[in-house]
Amino acid sequence: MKVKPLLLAALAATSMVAVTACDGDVVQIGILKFINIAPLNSAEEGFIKALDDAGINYKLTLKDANADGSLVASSSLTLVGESDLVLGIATPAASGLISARAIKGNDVPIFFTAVTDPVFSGLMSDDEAPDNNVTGTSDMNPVREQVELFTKLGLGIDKIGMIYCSTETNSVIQKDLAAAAADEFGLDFVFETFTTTDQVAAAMDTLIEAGIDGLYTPTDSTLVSAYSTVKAKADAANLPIIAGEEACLELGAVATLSINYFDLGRITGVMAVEFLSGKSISKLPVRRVEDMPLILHVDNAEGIGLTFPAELLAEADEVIDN
Amino acid sequence: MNIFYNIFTNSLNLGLIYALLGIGVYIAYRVLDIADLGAEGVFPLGGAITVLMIVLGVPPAVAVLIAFIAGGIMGLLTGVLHTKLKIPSLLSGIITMVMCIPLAQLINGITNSFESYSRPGDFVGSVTVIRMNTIFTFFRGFLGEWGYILASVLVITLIIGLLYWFFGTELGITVRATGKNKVMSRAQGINTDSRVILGLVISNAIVAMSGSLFSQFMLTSNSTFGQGTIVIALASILLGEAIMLFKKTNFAVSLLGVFVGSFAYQLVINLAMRVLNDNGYLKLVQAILFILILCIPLFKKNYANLKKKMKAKRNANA
Repeated sequence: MKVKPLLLAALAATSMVAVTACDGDVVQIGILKFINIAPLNSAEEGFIKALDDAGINYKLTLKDANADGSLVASSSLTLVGESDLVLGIATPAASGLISARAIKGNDVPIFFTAVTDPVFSGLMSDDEAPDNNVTGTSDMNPVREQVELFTKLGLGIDKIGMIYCSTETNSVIQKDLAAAAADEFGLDFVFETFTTTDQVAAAMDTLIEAGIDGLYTPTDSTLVSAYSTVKAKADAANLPIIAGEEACLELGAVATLSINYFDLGRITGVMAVEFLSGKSISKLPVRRVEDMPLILHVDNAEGIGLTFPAELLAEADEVIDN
Repeated sequence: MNIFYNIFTNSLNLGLIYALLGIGVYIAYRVLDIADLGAEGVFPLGGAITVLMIVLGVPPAVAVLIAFIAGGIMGLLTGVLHTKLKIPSLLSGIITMVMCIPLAQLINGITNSFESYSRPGDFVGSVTVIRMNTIFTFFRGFLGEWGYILASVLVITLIIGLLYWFFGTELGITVRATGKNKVMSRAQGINTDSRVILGLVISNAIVAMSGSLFSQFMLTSNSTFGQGTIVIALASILLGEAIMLFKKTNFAVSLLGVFVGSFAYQLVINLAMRVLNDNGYLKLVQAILFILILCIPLFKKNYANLKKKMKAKRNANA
C-alpha cells in the first residue's frame, strides 16, 4: 500500500491549511480562472489591485482550471464551500461556480469578469437588476462603434464582410451585433464562417468574390491564430481590416477601439468592494469598460494604400507609426 | 471541521459521477481486454444530448436514457470498425472519439438556437443552461447536497445491479469468455465479433450516461468536458484494484472497487488542490499520481518478494 504515505502527507498539509483559514474578520476570497492566458491574467491582477486600493483585509485562494471540465467542477466546489465571495474569470468558470453553489446549497455572492454576454450565457436573467446573487463585468467589445469606423475611413465603403469561427459562441453574438450595426450605418453586410483554420483561406476568397470593401474581425481566438492568412488575402484585395481587439493591430488590422482587461478586472474589484461595504448585489448592475481608446495603425494602412482622414487622426487616442 | 466535510462531500460527489465512467471503461478495458479511447468523445456527447433533451422539455430521467442509447450507438460504431472492418481497437476508439466531438458541438448549436443567437447548423463549443431541471433537482429539494449523492448512488446501484445480472446470463458469460480467451471462445462456437460489439455498446452507453450526469451536475454542456476522462477512468480502475485487496473476487464487488478507486482518486486530487494554492501544477500532479498508481502492482510484487527473501534468510539463520 504505497498510497498511504501520500494520503497522510496530503492530510497533514490540509490540516495546516485548515488552521490558517480560521482567522476572524478576514474576507475569504476565491478566484477561479478558466485558463492561464494573458487577458484573463490581467483581469485577475486588476481585481486584486482594486481590493488592495480599498484596503480590504482579505485572504485569497486562486484556482486555475486548466480548461479541464473535471477541474472546473472540483475547484468550483472547493471555492464555493469555503469563501465569503468568489470571482469566476471567463464564462465556463462563472457557470461552474454557479452550479457548484446550487450543489452546496449556500448563497455565496458570485462575481464574474471576461464574460461576453452574461444573460445569453444563462448566468443571470437581467443584467440591469442582477438576481440570484450574481453580478460582474462584461468584456463585450463595442461592435457598433467598431463597425462605425468603416464610415470614417474616407474610402466610401458600402459593403463590409465579417469572418469568424462558428464554434465560438462569443463570435456568433458579435456577428448579430455587427449585422445590426451595419444596417444602422447603411452598410451591406456579408459573413463567412469556418470551423477549422485550414478553411480560413477559402472563406476569405468567398468574401472577396462577394465584393466587400472592408473586413471586420471579431474577438475570436481561433481566428486570431490564423490571422496571417486573413491579412494576406485582405492585402491582395486592398481591404482595410477593423478588428475587435488590440492584439490584431500587430497582426495587420488598421484600427480598433480596444478593451483593457486590467481595467475590466479592476472595475469588477470595485464592485466587490462596494458589495463588501454593504451594497446589495441587486443594486450592482453589470458594468462594462467605458473608456475604450481608438487606436490606428498607420503602417498597415499604408500597406493597402489608405491614408487616414485628418479628423480620424485627431480623434485617435493612439497612433502606431513606425 | 468544515474543510474536511467539504473535501469528503466534494470527492464523493465527483467520485460517484466518475465511477460510472470508470465502470464503462472497465467493461472495455478489463472484461473485453480492449483499449477503447472513445470515452473522451462519448462523455461530452452524452452531456450535449442530455442538455438538448432537457431544454426541449424531456424529463431528465428520460434524457439520461436517451444519452445512454446514443452512447450505445457510438459503441456499436467502434465495435463494427474494430471487428467487421478490422481496424485496430485503439484506432477504432480514436475514430469514434474524433467523430463525437463535432457531433456534440452540432448538438450544442441546436440547443443554443433556442436562445436565438445561433442557427441550428452552427457548431458551438459550449452552452450554458444554468436554470434547468435535472435528475438531481427532486432529491436536492429535501436533502440538499446529499440529494446529489443519493441520486448518483441510486443510478450506480441500478447500473451495477443490471451489469451483475447481465454478466451472469448465458449471453453475458460468453461476452466475458470472449474477453478472456478469444480463440478458445470461438472454438466453443461463440460468435466473438458480436460479443465484442455488444461489450463495447454497453461500455460506451455507460460512459455517455456518466457524461449525462456530469452535465446535469454542472448545468452546462461543453465539448471539451471529455478531456482527460480516460486518465480519470483508468486511474479509478487501477486504484480500486489496489485498494480492494481480494484477488479473485465477485464481479459486482470489482465494479464496487471502481467506485472506491474513483472516490480515492478524487480525494487525492482534492487534497493536492489545497496544498497547491495555484493549481497550475495540478495536471503535473495528476500525471505523477497516475504513474504511481500504475506502479502499484510492481511495488506489491517487490514487497512480496522482499518478504519472501527475508523469511528465507530468517529460516536459514535459524
